[in-house]
Amino acid sequence: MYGWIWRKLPGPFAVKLATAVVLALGIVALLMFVVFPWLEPRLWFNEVSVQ
Amino acid sequence: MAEREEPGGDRRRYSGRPPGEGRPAPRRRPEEGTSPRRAPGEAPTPRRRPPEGRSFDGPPPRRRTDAPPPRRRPAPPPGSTEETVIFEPVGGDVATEERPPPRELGKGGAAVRTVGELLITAGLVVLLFMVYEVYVTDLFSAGKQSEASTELDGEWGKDRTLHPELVDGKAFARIHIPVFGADFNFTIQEGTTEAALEVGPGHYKGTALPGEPGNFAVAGHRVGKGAPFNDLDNLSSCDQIVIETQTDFYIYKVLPYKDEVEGWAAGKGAEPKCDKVGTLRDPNAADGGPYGETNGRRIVFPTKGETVNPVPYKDPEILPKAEQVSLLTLTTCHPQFSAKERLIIHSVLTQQVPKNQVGSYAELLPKISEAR
Repeated sequence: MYGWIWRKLPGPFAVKLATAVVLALGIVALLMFVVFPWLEPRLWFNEVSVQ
Repeated sequence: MAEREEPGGDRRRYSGRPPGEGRPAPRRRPEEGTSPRRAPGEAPTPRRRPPEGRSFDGPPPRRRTDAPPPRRRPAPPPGSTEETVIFEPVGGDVATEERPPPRELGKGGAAVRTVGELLITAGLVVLLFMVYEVYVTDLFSAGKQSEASTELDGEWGKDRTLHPELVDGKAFARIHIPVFGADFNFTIQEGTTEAALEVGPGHYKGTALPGEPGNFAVAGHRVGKGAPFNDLDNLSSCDQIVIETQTDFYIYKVLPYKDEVEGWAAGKGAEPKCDKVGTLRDPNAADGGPYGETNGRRIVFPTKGETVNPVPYKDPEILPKAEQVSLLTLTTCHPQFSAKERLIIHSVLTQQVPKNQVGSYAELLPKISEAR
């Protein structure tokens, strides 16, 4: 999978590397700002109150 | 994760020589940086510096009169003008061996590899989520908390007579815990929804307000989201918890822990810091009366909603409001990083300081620290 992505990236090594870093950072940002905040209230271990 | 290498790409570093060639004779490395390079066709120059280590200050070395002008390069250190000899690496025979070409992965192999890569990715995502929970939510909450704090200050500054209105998710009071440091303070929001608790501690709706008889109950996160109640387990009996409202400071003190109840009045209860802190137990009742179960610290199951009742763990009607003690109850999750149980801190109101006597928490702090 990663090899396939690497081969799909255009350009020489330096460009490939830069694109790969940008892609990875983009995915981390997507997780941190969109996916995790959405997911978190659906999980059970954040409750601090009694009911 | 690595893919097939370019043919020969990795082998280059092993040896350029085809196998079977004899061992190389010691040779001069053409690009040797430390030895002065010779111009093409130039006769071998005499050593500029004798290897015996004679310095230039001594008798001048023999020099050919037709020698070229001195080179700009600094004289190499003694010994380095000798021929550079490349020795066989230890186990050099191994290095010259041909590596077997990587076997082609079949369809099955490629599928197994992809599954493995996906599993590793999933593991990384889970790790990242833990980082998010423990650290990144702190950052988000810090922003919300400072916003709420500024807004609360603005509202308090506007009108001092207005009775605070409780709006869901909006801050209406502030909690200070001096033993956690002079700067420990969080706004208290109305309600214990996820959104309210992201900002800071939240007030259980319907429970008493600060200073009122009954039970002013507040929930807060212990891990992540600013973790206002991270250190709640470090509180000990008689530690102060200050609730600041628009008009007053209410000073609560943590009630005696269960193992301290026995002989409290003669023991720890006699210390000056425990002034006005009693056990709340009814000495005439075997079970301690209505407040028999209300100790300074308790660990309960999440379903124990009676914790925040006006008289904790008892029927709401057990005492008329006028006879209820003014309590402050803090709840958070327990053990840390888990939500299996709840850590409960019960404290009792010992003092009320109107803000027209003491203007700010910074002024109040030295006064209430004297007793500690």
